[in-house]
Amino acid sequence: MANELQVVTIGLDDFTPALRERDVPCLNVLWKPPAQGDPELTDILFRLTVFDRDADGRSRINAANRKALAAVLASRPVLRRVVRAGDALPGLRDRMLLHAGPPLRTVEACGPMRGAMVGAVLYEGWAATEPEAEALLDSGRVTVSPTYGHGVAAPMAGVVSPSMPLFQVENTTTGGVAYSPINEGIGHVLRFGANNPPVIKRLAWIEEILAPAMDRAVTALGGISLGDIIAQAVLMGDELHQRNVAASLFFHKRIAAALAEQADSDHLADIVRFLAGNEQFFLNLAMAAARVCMDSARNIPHSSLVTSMSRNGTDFGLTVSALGDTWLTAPSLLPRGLYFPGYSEDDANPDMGDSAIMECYGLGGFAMAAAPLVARFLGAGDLREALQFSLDMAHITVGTNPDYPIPTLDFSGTPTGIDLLKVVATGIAPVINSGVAHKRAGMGQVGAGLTTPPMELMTKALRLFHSKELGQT
Amino acid sequence: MENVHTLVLRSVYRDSAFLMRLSSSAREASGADQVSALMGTPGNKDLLAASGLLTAAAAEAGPNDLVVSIVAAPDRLAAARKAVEERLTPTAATATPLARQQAKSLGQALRVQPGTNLAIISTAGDYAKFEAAQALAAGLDVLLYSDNIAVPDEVALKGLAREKGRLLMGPDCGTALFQGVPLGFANNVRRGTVGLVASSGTGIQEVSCLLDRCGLGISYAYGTGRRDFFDAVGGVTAAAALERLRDDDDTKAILVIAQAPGEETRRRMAEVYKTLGKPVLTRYIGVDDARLRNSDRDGVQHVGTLLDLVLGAVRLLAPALDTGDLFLPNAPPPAPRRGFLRGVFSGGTLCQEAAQEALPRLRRDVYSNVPIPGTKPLPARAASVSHTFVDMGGDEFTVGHPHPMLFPEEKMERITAELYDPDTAVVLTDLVLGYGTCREQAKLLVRALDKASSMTGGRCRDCLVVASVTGTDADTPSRSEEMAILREAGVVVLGNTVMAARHAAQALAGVVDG
Repeated sequence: MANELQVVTIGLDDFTPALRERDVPCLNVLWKPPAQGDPELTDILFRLTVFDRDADGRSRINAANRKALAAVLASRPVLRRVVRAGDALPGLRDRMLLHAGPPLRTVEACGPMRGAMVGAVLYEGWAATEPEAEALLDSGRVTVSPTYGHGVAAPMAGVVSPSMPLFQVENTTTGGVAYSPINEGIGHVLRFGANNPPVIKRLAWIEEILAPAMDRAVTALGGISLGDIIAQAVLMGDELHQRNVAASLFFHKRIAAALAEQADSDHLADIVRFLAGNEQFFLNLAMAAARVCMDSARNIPHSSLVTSMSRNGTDFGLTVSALGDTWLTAPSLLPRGLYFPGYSEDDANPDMGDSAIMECYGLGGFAMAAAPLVARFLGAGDLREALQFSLDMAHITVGTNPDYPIPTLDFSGTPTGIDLLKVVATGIAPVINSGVAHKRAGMGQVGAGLTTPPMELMTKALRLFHSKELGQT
Repeated sequence: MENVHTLVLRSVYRDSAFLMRLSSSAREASGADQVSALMGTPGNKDLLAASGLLTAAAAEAGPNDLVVSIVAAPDRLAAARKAVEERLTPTAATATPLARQQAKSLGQALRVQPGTNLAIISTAGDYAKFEAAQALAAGLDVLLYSDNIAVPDEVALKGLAREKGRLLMGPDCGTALFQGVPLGFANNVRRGTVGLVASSGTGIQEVSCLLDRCGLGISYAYGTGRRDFFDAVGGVTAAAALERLRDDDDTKAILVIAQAPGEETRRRMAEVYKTLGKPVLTRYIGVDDARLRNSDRDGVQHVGTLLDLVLGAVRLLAPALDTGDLFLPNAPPPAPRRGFLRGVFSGGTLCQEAAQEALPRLRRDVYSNVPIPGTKPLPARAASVSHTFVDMGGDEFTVGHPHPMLFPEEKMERITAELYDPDTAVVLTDLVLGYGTCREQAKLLVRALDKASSMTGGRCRDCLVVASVTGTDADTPSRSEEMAILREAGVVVLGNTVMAARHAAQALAGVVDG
């Protein structure tokens, strides 16, 4: 050993007096048991570390994860078109509804999801009244399918029907495509399960007036690069999940002139008012961007990267790169956070929506250090607590995204690429910034909070990953 | 352009604000006349030219190279260079918040201290194997103090270590010496030319302290873990450690201490010894000595005690050295007495070294909880019977209880119990000093003797109490200090474990029933 001795100690600190007396550099790890003290999981992590190596002794998992992250970082999401769902999605058949999250376990969806489905049925004209819509859904003549399998990412209930317009976002590096619906606004909206006539009317307006105008504007521009907007928004206090204020402003700025040129003058004022009035407008675009970038990390052999996270209001689902399109699911947790006046945890619907794709992509809770205001709203007392979220997430990610530097972290990039093994080893679950829906359809948002995938889901995923990698149960 | 010195750092980028701060801070710190750090862009080179700083080296630099120009008197130049280099190297204090956190994982620790080359792991066994795997995977050597790791896991870890060209010292390894730095339970000994590879920590301690007393020192002492020489593991760590010693220019002789090495492993080691090009002395504890000694050849000698290992090393490296100090203090032959010898030790190696020395001189049955050839097994935690050599550091005493080297209380209670037994004629014990060990062993032993004395109304004062002290005068407490406390209390202290055992046995040898 030609080099000077430099030591790390894990466990007892008793070994250090001799080192300190000789000025030997020595760092102690504030250790706690891996996998929250579970010896079986520790054994799995041990086996994956020791045995999952290639002929040159390099970790196959680490190499695969670096490759996966590199693919994500090389991605360039661009909004290309606004298209009709039924035309763009080959798998979206007639009388089919998409919904956020993993497959619904039963026909009984949670309140807001059910309400959104009823609303979609009415919007499509498959039924004329609410009772008819309910009956249709109960009859089984409408099939439901997770958004994920169709390349769609939608927030909250995430119900998408054939007539709905979708943003079409292309990853210009890979040619991959992903979609998301147009954000309706806040309050009584379909994604929270509202389905009364004003909601349906707004959906129709979006389809007939807003979408075509936006499509012409975007086409005239040759596309709108979304990564630039995200980067600038992060520099301005957005984390792109709870808070998209700057991002929505930037988007508006990008599209304003083209809209003015392309939209009918009769409708322009309404369109501008709609866009300007929705501070969360960019969320859906951010989700499609995140989805299309994360798609580049799918199906990489040996990679333990979490490629998606989503919830259907009952269950939490995730996908892991090496495990392909296999859904791993477990019951969702309730978000912890602040409730609007008059509401409490008793009113809360469990976690819902595809928006956790933002955290997969290094934004949302992972970029909390960029959004101290959000952290404050979620109950973090001071700036240091806000920074700590991102610092904690750095323990469970493969790397950082230099395209999205965070000023309060000395311009370190956002921690990106959730590594399943690190989550289980550290016990640190990915933290998701989430809005909280009322559990009754149509009541809207009642608060905002933090949620995580249940740890049992992560350990389930790890066991499956282990058996695939090392062929053992 | 006198006194202008140019440093060009290829492909090193820093932003201009950083470079301005670096320049002024380095100049102030070193007393140089001028320090200017700029990227080698054409524009900056014009600036340098205008200031009379564009040396040939600076002119050659590219736009992605960092050009540092220093104007300083010859006696300030070195300081200026150092000041610049320090400010260019990110330290934990200047790194980002991501790095400034107290490290909660190995990965984070390595980001803060990227020059790390050794991890010392002492967490519970179930988890330690994972920590060790991560450390090896990260390219570190590992000192694995933890035990309770199954053999297949040890084999798997050592396979990974071998793939990575690193050492797994362990499991159950608490002692090593690296570049003169004591690691774990180890002593302040000289740095020198003897390399050690050992499956026994106290073996390392005893040998390194004895060598130190002779004026010889240790280059590296590598612990291999208790089971490394068993055939189930195959000496993987030992072989890797020997290769390191082979390649270390400072190492002139190599000593190997192995507990119960398997036959296949001995054969494998014999092949490795041939490739080292340096003399090797081995002490294979628990293997028949006569057979082994007949195989002395090719620069490899097998010896029968740790003391012989030390004497052999001295003969090789410093034959003119006076080894007398190894045998101090000495004592006149003991008065003969009837009864039994009770050896109470803090570790298996010295227990075995002592028992082996005493055995030929003892006529009655000798029991031990260590599987020493020629002894009968002592049931777990049973009271001593006949002559007994007990290792208080054995599993039966330490599962759920602290180790006697850290907390000697149970060992001292055992000594008191032996003294209380009217059949005991001699008590023999070891004190092992050094980092990590209890600092009051001599005092506690004296207290145990006093307690026995008051329990027996003074009767046990007829017992001979013999001890050896493993340590150096650079330890805290020092060997001399500990010996003085013992001798004042009437304990007979001998120069090393072998001598102490010999002295203890001699007291009984002359007596028919002894």
